[in-house]
Amino acid sequence: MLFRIILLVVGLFAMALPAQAHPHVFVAAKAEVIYDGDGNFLGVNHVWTFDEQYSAFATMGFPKLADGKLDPDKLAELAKVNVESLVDFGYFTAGKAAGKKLDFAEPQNYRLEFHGNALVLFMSLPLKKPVPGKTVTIDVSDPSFFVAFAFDDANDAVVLSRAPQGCTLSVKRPKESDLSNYARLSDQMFQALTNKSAVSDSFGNKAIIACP
Amino acid sequence: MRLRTDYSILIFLLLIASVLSAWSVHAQAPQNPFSIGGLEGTGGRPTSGIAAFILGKQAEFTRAMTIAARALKSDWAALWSLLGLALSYGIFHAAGPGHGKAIVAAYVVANENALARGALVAGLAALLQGVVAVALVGTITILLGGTRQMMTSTINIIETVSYAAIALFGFWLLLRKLRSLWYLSRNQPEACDHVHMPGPDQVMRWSGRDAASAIFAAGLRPCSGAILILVFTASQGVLWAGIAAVAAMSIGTAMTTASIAACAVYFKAAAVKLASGSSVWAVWLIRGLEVLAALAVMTLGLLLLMGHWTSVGGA
Repeated sequence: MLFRIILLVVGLFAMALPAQAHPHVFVAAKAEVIYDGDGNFLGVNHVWTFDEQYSAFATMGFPKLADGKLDPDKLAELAKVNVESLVDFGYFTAGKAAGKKLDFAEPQNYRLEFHGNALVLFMSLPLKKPVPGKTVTIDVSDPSFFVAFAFDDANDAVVLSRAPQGCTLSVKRPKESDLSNYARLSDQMFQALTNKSAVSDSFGNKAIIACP
Repeated sequence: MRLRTDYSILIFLLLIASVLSAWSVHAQAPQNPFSIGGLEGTGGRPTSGIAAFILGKQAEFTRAMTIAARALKSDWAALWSLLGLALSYGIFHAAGPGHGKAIVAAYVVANENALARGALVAGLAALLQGVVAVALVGTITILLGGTRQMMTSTINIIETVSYAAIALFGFWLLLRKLRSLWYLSRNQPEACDHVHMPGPDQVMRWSGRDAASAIFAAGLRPCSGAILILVFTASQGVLWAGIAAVAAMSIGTAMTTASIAACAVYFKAAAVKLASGSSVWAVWLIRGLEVLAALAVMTLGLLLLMGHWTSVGGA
């Protein structure tokens, strides 16, 4: 009896517990991985295309020029604000080279453009010091999961520049198709319920480069 | 009368404390560069399959809604898919994060409430959320031609007020429940078999002020998804469709919160039923449960205010 009451009380409070954050902003990312021609890894050139809803939100109230394009001064201002506040979030770019964490310097050559209905952020992210680029992992994502990053579906979402001959590149996108499968209460879901890292991993958005 | 004065002093002090702490939150916690407003972005990656499923669904709905809203400019039939998607978005959104359902559940537990009343509070809270979103976008985007910064800082303020409202609502419930606990201890019934227990369906009283506070606390903060769809449809020249979509979202949200309220009603009724007729301690248990519910809401509000959401409640 007492046990049943306790069970009910626990159930009652569990129900009211807050759940996790969820993305409201979606970014299709492209990345150019820069080498120096001698096998050293220098940094990443990001191109982030925002979803149309967020693009409309970010540029609301911006004056338009005669040709219907957004005022470039306003876009430049916004790019500056974005890039400056990205510092606190590690530029949403993490990773390792030869087992060591990547240490990025301040972004350079950043700008915002409006392509069709979408806002696109261009940003060069150099490392503070070049590092040997034999094995490099680059993770582009928002750990708080407010912004959902995924490498673009195109084949050239991640490209290598001046990398040594014979480097292999593999791109791991968050598996949204897997998520839809959960609807069928598949084995996968029960697996996922018991294996936290499996779910977390399916949200990873990574480029992995291995050079000879 | 005396007691009321004490309340207002306490509430006033708490309000000052919450404004101060909110101030420090926004000074400390950096806002996501692509934030819509407030601290909504904190929480972390999903750690369970169910959360991942809800997230995946929401991402799908968001994309599909964008496509439907754009198609609407040339094809009216797209309105139906937009409304259907918005309804589903609302259902899933409410099942995900957000404190609205916690407040509604706690309100139901702390008050002797019938199912219909819990559902009504849930529905009105969802409606208020939609109305706030429409009013915000209507004023800032359409009337003032304001920018994203103006919107974000307005949402930050509303969020702070809503957290303070949650804390105050919990505090107020707690005071009342503690008072009834105190009353119970003073008027301990003799060990007899006439223990006064509220029956599962017995409604002691219906306080409009209680309900209004719960609705206000749960529904004040607009949902980012609603803000985004409104701004987007406004930019496409079909704001009316955005408003219709937000109405559908509110209905979806109300459906989920109402079912959670229904669960809370059921759980409490079951607990009361289990305990009834047993002994005096059962009365204490029920009163204790109510105090706990009130305490939980107050703590939630305070944690949100202090921005400790991530470390404590998030992941």
